[in-house]
Amino acid sequence: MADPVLRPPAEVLYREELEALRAVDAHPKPRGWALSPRAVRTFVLGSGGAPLPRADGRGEIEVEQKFFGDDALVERAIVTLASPRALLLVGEPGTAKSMLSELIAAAATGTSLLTVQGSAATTEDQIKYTWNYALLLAKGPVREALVPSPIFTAMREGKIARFEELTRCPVEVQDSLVGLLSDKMLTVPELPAEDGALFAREGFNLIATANARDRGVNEMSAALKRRYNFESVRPIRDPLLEMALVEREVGKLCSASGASVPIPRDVLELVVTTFQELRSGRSREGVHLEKPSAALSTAEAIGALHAAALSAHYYGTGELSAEDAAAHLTSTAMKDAEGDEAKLERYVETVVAGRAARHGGPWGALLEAWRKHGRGA
Amino acid sequence: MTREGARGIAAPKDAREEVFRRLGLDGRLAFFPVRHHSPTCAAKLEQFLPQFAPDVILIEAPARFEEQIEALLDEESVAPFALVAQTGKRHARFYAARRGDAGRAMDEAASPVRSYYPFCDYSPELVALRFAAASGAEARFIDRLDQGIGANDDDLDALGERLGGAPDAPLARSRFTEALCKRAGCRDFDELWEVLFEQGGWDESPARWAESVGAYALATRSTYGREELEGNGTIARERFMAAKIAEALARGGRVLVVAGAVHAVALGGARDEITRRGRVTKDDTEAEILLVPYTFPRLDALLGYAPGMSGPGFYQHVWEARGEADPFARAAEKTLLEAIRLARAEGDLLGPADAIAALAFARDLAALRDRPRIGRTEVIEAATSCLVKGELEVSGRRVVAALGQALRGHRVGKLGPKAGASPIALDFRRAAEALELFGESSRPLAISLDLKGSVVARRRSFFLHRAAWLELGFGKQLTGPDAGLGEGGLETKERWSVVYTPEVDARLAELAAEGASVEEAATRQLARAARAASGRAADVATLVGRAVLMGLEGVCRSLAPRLAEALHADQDPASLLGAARRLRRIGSWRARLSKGRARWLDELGREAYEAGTRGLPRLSLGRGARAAEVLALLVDLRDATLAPGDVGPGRALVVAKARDAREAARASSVLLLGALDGLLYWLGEARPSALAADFESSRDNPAARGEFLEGLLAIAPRALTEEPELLGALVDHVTHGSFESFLASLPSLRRALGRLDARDVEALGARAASKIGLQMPEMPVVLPLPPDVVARLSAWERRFLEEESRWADPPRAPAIAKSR
Repeated sequence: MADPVLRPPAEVLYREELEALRAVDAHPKPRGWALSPRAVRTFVLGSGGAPLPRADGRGEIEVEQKFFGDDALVERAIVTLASPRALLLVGEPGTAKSMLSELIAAAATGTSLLTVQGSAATTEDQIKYTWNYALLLAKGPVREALVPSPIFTAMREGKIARFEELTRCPVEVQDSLVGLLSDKMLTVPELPAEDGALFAREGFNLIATANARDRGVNEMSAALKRRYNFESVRPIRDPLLEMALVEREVGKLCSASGASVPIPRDVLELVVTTFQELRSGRSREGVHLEKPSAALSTAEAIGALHAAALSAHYYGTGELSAEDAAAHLTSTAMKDAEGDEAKLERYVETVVAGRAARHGGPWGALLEAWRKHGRGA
Repeated sequence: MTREGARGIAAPKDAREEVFRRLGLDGRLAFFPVRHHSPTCAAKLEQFLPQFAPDVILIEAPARFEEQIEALLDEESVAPFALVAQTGKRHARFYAARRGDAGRAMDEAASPVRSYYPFCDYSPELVALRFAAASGAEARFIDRLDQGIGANDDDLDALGERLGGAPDAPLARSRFTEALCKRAGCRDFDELWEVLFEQGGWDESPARWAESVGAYALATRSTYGREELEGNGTIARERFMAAKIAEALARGGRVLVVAGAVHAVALGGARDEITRRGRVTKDDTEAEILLVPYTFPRLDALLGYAPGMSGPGFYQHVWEARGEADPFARAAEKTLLEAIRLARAEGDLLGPADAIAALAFARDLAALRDRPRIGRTEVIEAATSCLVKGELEVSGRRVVAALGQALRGHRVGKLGPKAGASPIALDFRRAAEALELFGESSRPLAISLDLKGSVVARRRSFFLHRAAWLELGFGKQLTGPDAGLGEGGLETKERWSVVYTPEVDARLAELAAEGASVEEAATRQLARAARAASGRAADVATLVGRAVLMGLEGVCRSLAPRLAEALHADQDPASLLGAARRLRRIGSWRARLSKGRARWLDELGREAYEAGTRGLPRLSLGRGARAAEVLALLVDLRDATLAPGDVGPGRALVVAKARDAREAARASSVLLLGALDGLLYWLGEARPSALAADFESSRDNPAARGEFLEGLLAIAPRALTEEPELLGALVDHVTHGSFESFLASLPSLRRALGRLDARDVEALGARAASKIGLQMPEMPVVLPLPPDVVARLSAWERRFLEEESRWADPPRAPAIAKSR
């Protein structure tokens, strides 16, 4: 990472890994792809501890695992993108859909930046193209005056484009993708015939994401649905895996923030266990719980612990205590709907209070934090 | 690059050499390791058998099954089929022995215990048997039927030492499998097996394939401790197999042992000890061995057959395409097309383009995973990725269900004539097929029958009722008349759900001694039930009803003398009237089916009515359901007495006996008194003044007035509206008696009035209002409600009134407080 930017794209952040993979990649590549599907998989899932020679010949590099919890999903996503169909990743917020789409796009066709961010305000222009109106007025409808959308560019250059939060766009706007994905070409009727047809180059495809908490995919037209393969992305179920991931990512974020705060094991377990139990609606002891509507993903757990670590770094002793973590955990879990407070109240007063009485420690701290900051805070 | 992949997993050279030595595939005694229901294994064995040219093939299946080898090889049979070991009414001997006397006591009461050993076309054991039959080799089964625990009580001998493995398992089984799965990039054992030995092993030579499986089995075997192998009976079974092998070797020739891989490598490792053995332990487990058709859903590991491989429909396609270049691709194509067809039938918008996309997806996914061919796992993932349009849990239910069906298949096996199916099983099959109740599929069949309009529907109904009576588990009646023609009433339409399961044939095998046909067995069982019901007229009449539903008119006639006997013997008037009611309804139901009236049924019915009527003075009412049933019987007697034709009892007899009974009831039951008054009133034999007098006779017990009225109105609902004197008595009771008296009678009064229909209630209200000088709008509303609701409301009302009275008249404060 050479540039001191806040968040470089995946192709920049992992440039060395990608170059090393490209150098050793002898497997067949789909046309237009920079890496073979196997190399893309290795980029996303890691080389399993096996080092690769660096592209510049200076030693070796290990490809780290970036996506956790469902290797087969990653394989299916890659295979879909090598096929004529587009990929739609559906899931709860915070399940790393966007990260996965960024990683795959960066590895497969070299860029993750050809992205449309969907919203209720998204228009067809943003999906296809618009005009530089000064040039348009000066020169009329010429290629030079056309402002391409990221998808237009991806088609022209044979890249994978990304469409974030597809289902937040109005259905009629979504449907402008139908012809584009079906015929793999885009017509610009304002331009002369020879310039007015853009045929997608080999390598072009689209990864869209959709949030299961919003309108979901039910309102998508059947015609558009047919152009996608759907993959459901779920939260990580294995607590040990999630703990390892949270620990690693919080460490990275702290390091980037210039804060060196070790995460105690019991605090890590407190946060991950709480998130897993509330997410699944069931405690380790088998108590049925009402699921809060707030997103309690791995990303939220990382965010809560990172905030707690920064708090400890800047305002505390530099050591992350259970009390710090508990205070941030309750605020993360309560940020959404009003009804969540009662659900959390029940969780704390049944599950957490029981554990606090039996084990004390971080569970006691969480109980105290809830009673102090949580209810009615 | 990420992981080793299946191709990266290979047994170490020394392990392969050890397995090569143990299996001895080029020697006089060879062991071929198998997994039950593995198409690749079956294909490799099919290739290996002519190369090895065995004189004797020894197969890991219970030796007790040898009596069925010829049946298994019937060319007209269609797999799947299963051998069933049925251990009578108790569990296998070893099971009871382990549980002691308590266990035996439990066993005596237990149902028949059946163990199924299914075979399909791609069972290696069946492939071996078919080769033996074609080549003239001798085929023998070499395993025990039970697990042999305690059957071989000598100390561990040299063979046992060799088979037993290490005292402590060096590597936990789960960890071994987990480690292998991780290295191969598989999620579970089934996927691992597929990757390593099914599509992964398809292109290997039989010997190489056997070595690979043997190496895996040897490593797995090392995870078992000796104690565990002794405890689960493995050692005892292998000793038995070893003795059988020694016996075959002693006869000379080339011997091939086809056994589960874990047994094959262990026995192969003890080959020197085996050759020195000669004594065969007898397997004397008491069991009946049957051959029955089986189904693919049952074969599917997910639906009950644990050792099998999930997805028999898919693997059957692989087996059938084994001559093609890529049988797995063909199986994937057929499975995906079938899944799309099924999902389309349920409303999903899928077509050939989706099939093409899914097949290409499956191929690319297998290639990405470094798997040489498409496996079942890739088919599943291709379908969920390419065919489900939305979230899997929300939008994928139809596709997932269709895919499950396509993978599972729905084939039902069939036995040929040589299989020696019992005559009753053949008759059942023929009849079910002729009536189109036995499809090629094992899916439940929804059957609707209009018995009135169709002879075929009646035949189908008779057959299904017979199957139900014999407890074959073949059809489930959803609607239509029952044997007593009670709940289903006189309906002439029936709905059934029909499905074949292997238990049908197992049950038919049990019934083989009952007769050569379903009809004969049903007849015999009916006759036996009639003997058991001797003396209970209602029970015998129910059997007559069942016989009519089963279309066994001949049996009905044979039951007539028994029923006549019961009518004389039975002293319970309720049972006699119950029998009479059933017989009359059976007769009417037959007449509705255009069969005309059966004179003998009418005669028996009348006889039953008369016997019941003569017993009326003995009639007791009881409480609750019994009381309701007796009232219903009296209603039926009322209707039968006045019914046209000659189906009911003589009127004079009914009047005389009802009068006698009424006198008896005065001392026993006011409800029954009311009912008998109602019966006599209905027959025109009760004076209105007498009704009013009987109503008022229980002046000391206000609740009894309501009970009398309840009994009366149950039989003669219009008595109250037609008889001003009775109505006057009721109005007097309500308006002139004490409130407590009214309150006490309110629940039963409400139950009584609840028997009237809305029009009668309105008419009654109008007359009562005019009697007490009220206009209609002022008239209290009386609603016809069910008795239980009335009772509940009455209780609430009583509580309310009590509370209300307390509010109106609160307890006074103590006088001392007032004085202050």
